[in-house]
Amino acid sequence: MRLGFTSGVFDLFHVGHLNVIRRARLDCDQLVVAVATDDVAVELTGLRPATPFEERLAIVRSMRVVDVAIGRMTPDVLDLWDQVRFDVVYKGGDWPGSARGDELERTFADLPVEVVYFPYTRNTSSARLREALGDVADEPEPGSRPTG
Amino acid sequence: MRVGKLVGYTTGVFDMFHVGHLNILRQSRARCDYLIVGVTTDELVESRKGRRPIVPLLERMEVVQNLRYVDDVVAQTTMDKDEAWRNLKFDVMFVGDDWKGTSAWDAIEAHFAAVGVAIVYFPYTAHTSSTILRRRVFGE
Repeated sequence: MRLGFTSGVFDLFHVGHLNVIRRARLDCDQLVVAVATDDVAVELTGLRPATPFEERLAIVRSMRVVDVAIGRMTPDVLDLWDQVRFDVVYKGGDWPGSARGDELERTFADLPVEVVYFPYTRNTSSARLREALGDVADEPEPGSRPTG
Repeated sequence: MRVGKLVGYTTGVFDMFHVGHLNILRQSRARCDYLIVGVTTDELVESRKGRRPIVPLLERMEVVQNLRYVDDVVAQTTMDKDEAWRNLKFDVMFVGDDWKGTSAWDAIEAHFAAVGVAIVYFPYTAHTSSTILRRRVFGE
């Protein structure tokens, strides 16, 4: 049994997230997905997610390709490995050779863990969604603009 | 003799998928055996709301299709629910209760009753949630 693992914030869930977990699930027998808590997300990315942890977890958990969804209560990926003991970790977004990718490979170099990369295959990233939301929110709601 | 599976149908835009959408789909699936979801096309949204959704149709359909509560997804190209029924032959339709009592839905209800299709109204929180989401993202 090949136990796969991936982790993310999954804020404003979109098809880019879906593609990563779907491809991860194709490569293993059971997939565990860890969703970062709000505090861990801030620690890892510097950004507070737009949607709260419980809601992000509920959506990830509802995806058919996710066998188990857990909360990520720690920024330390080795703590996660201690808990889950996965055989392979999937990393979406970064290509091999990126700084974060190298760090991940170093972390697991002495452990029986394979590191597999997937690029985001679409360009609707969370950043673009946030941008679009900002544009939408900039527009006054119908009726709120004074007439004349 | 046995009764076949109860086929349910619901529709929505499902733009920037959030937990309000998820709850509606989960509640719908809990009340039928097979849930078909009609996802509104970009063009239909634009013609009704004056602007296209942020996330394009194929990506919205893709996310909805991959939920464990959803059995099948179709593009909703028309607001004509009778046309949808002639194509899909569902037994029950799930609708947000913000539509309950409107003349359009009273008419659909009467028409569906005649062909044996039930309409179940759910407390509708998706719209509120989208508004809250926008406020949260923009407010930061």
